[in-house]
Amino acid sequence: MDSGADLNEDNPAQFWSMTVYGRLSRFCDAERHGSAELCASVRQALRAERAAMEAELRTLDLRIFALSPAHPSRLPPEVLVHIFSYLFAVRPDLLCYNIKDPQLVQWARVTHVCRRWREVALDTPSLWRNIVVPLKSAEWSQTILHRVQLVPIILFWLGRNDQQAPALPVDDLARVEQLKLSQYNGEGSALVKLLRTPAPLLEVAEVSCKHVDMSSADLFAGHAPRLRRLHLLHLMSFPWNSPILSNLVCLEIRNDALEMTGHCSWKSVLLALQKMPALETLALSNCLPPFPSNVGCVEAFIVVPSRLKVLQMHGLLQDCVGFLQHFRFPAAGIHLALRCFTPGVATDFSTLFPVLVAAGGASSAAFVEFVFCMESAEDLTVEGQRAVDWGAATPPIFAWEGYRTSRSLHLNLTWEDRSGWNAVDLMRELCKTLSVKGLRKLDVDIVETPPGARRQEVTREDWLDIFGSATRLREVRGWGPAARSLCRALLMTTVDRQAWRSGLGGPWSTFFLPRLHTLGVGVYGQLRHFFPEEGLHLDDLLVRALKTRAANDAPVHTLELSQATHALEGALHGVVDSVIVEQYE
Amino acid sequence: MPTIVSVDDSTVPGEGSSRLLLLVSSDNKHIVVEEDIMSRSRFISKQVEGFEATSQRHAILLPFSSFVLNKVIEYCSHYRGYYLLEDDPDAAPPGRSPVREWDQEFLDVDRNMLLRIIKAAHYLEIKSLVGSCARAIADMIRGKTTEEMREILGVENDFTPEEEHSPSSKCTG
Repeated sequence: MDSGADLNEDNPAQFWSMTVYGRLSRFCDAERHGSAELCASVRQALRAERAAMEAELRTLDLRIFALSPAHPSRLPPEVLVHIFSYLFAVRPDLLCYNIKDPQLVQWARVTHVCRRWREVALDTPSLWRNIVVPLKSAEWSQTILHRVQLVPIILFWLGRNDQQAPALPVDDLARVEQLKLSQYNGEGSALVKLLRTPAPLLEVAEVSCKHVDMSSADLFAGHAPRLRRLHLLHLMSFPWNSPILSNLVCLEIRNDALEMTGHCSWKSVLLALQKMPALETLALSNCLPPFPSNVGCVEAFIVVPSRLKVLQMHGLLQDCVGFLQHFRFPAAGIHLALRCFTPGVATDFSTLFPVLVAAGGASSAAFVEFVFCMESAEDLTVEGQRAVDWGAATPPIFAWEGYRTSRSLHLNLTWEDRSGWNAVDLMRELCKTLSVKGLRKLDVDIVETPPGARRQEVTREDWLDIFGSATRLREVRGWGPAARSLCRALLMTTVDRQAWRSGLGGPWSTFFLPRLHTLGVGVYGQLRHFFPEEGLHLDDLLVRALKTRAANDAPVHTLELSQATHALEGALHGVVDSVIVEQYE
Repeated sequence: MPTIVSVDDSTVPGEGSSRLLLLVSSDNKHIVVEEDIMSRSRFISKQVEGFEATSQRHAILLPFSSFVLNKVIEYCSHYRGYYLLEDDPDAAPPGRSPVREWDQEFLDVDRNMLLRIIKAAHYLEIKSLVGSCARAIADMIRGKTTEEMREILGVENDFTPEEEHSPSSKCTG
């Protein structure tokens, strides 16, 4: 049909009806009289017509949408900046260690979408203030600094040696609000120079650099009035008399080895802490100065950190005891994590617990969370000399009441069976006095004992026996053999443990750990460990346990799994909320 | 700026602690809502302060449809009486805002609706809703190529070839 002269182009319905009819009329004969082959051919042609029309419709939709008041290119600049900010909101630590990851600069692609987006992005200095070094070129460095204008900078620098230091885009810290510097090797001379400049806007600083001596008091030239959080890792020394410490809310000093302890006196450390009234988090690892064994508590050096919430300490037992003797914990309670040892000789923890009682008082609320790690025998060795455990009839932890009301327990029991106590027996004893019913979070790491040892490992029965009544446990993480048996225990339903033990069976209605929300399994490459009793490998057992629980109103929501294969991840789809691969790598 | 018209007292009963407001959408729908619900909107709060100064009741004309307005009212009703960090003058930057589960369901709408809601929220100065919408939009285009971003949000590439590859447009070092 000819769409001819009487076609009214002002009437879209009529226009398109006539046009489409005219276009498609050539297929009419085939529909009526065509052979099968012809019909197939026409069907294909009609599909092509439809696809072409749909493409045109999409274009039409775009043009209609382009005129909409809510079109993205018409959004107010403040709204666009808000959207861009979310695209930028990546974790700074990831930003630092994955600077080559295109995902992390992906947000900046918004400048390539359209003119308006580019204008808005380039005119918003705050979007560009995260500066990740090394930058590819000096020109790019200048471009970024130009875009940042006068907005305070967040500077991440990750270098391997001194040669990369010249790539630092700033000569001083005057404009830096957050700083994260990390250098693996070299003297760090460029970093030290930078760290000795005033930092009037600096709020957070994290510096990780080996062999850097910061013992002199000129950290940030003594001028960092806004500094609240300071994290120093692997530094040779620390200026405890620096004036910048007085406003700190968080202080973290960590070293791998005891190489920093001889650079200051215990008095200077305690005096510095007395001048930090706002301190909420204190983490000291291998950085305490030597505390003489015969000093005892000296009144003039007692520290009363009224706002302290978290205290983490790792170091020589004698120094930790000396330090804690001078501490008075706030009445609201603190999260305390201790990891003490005595190299080469038996670690006598009996001196520690009375000190903790004195520091925290007799109040049951003194410790909101207590994490106590006992080192393995191997960790205690010095120059090949093997340590022996305390050898006492009763582990001294039982003499201390503080742990009993804790809602979180971290058992790192990795010593060998030398003192008449092995790890499982100790755990059992511990849980007799612990209020297991109140536990919310549990971490268990028990080393695999060598063949022939009196007790091999934590078994499924141990889990059921010791933690069967911990019905409020929400988070459980197990490592090594403890993780393997935990997976087996998760399949168990139990109401009457005695009945189960006597082999009577029964109408099980409650799963082991019925409120379990987060499960951590660190099996270190043993996902194919075979369980003869179940006839299953560990990964299959885990999948079965989680599926069974999910089908019976006891689902695990979050699974943290080491060395998960993709196949396992797929099998867990829909069973748990998330699978975090390589969590414990 | 919105147009403010005087309204009859019988239309908007405004006695007592829970006063009512009359909101008029661009499609001329009249929606009565408790003032308390809309207090999350700084724009509405400023309007109400203006009413108190003149001791007259008014309707507030808004430049978006009743469909969008009802969605905004639903959001405000849900968070009635809640303290939301973003609606505080000292709001945290958007990257640190928590994800609210309800918001995700609430904003599970098509692209056009989402953009209309964010624009309305911006107009009404409801920072928390702007933040949630911005996050939802950002999630739509996160990890996508430039071309995919354009397609998802219906944006046309209006660069000339020279502009597209100009040195000033570099986004990575």
